[in-house]
Amino acid sequence: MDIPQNKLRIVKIHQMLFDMARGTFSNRIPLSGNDDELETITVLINMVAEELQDNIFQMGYVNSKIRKTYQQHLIHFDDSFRIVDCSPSLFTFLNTSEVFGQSLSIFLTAPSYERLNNFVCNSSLNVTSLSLDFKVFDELLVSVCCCLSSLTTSKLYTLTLFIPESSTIDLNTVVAESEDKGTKIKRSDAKYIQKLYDYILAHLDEPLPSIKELARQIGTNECKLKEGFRYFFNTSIYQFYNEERLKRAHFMIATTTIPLKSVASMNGFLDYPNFSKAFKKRFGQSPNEVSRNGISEKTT
Amino acid sequence: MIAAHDFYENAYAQFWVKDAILYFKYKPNVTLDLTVAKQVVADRIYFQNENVYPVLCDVRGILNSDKAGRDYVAHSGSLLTSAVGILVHEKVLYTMSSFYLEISKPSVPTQIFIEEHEALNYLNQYKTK
Repeated sequence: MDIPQNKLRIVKIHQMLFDMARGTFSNRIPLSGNDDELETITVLINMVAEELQDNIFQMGYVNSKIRKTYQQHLIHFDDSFRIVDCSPSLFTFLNTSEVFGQSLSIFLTAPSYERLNNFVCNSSLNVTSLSLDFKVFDELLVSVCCCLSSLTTSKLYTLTLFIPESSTIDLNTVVAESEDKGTKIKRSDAKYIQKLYDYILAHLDEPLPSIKELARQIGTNECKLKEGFRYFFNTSIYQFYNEERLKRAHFMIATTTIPLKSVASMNGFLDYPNFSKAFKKRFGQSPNEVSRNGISEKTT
Repeated sequence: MIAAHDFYENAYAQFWVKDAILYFKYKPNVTLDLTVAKQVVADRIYFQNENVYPVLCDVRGILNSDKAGRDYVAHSGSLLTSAVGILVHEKVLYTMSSFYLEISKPSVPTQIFIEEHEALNYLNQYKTK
């Protein structure tokens, strides 16, 4: 633990934990490549930060005072990946004003730069979402959700960076109040909703039990389950279940040659005509109109 | 040499069936992000077609992973699998796999193993008849 390299790794872990305490979950600790206990902690912290970053808008996961909104930074670059223009806020984010004419390779990690390169050269899409790691703070990387787009009349590209920023709200008391029945959704209700969410995803191949039965299994009351689910996911329990099983059915039809009736029953539909009708309503095409069996490459 | 019928591979993994178990092996230095996850899941499902198998998933080639990749494999990657045995050899991979188990919550029975024969013993009980 005392060797200089390990001391530096511990410093980076401390920096990361402090950033997380401040409400910044977009940083990542670079991996050293050693397979030791310190590396397992590093990897765990990075993964926890990912979970928190994704769930930060779910009120049950928010830490006591911080709520996230996103700030946008814009970068215009040419086909040599040199920065041609940018939003002024980028200077603060990159921690330097020496940006114009610089290659993006200076600000991105090598794998991220290569990734960006691949997308620019190979993508036929006008707009692409990707995650890139920026080297902005001493020894720490910032993982950013970006949107890459080509421009219509010039040969430039636009990279839009979405960075969380902090604002303060008080979550010590009741988090939200239902409009219909005055049921109060508390942060502690999140664990029941999490259980329900996990249950639904693990049982898409079965008809959904009644809300009464679900509430009994999960250990809360029907009202909290219905209103809590709608609060966190902005949809009803049945609508979510139906949407997920239809998406899974579509995935199975597109990627396999499993007979359509089997696909229907494997996704909790006991009646094929009902499945077909629901499928067409959701996707605008019947199950038998979906093109089947896409595959990237295979060898025998 | 692999004494088995049907051997497929893509840019990120190799897979083959032996004794009614699907062997799935990531190639070296793979980062399991959403792009990789979608490709390996799609190709595995195509390979299996209608058959359900227990899967021996050798993740020893994985260098790193992100949430989107892990969550995709946990959810869509459980399709047509009856159980999964994850094979690891390093502390970091063990930690990553444990996190995957606890947080990404795969939809089928999944356990982590260091020894292949122990993984195969576990998977034998999930062979479809």
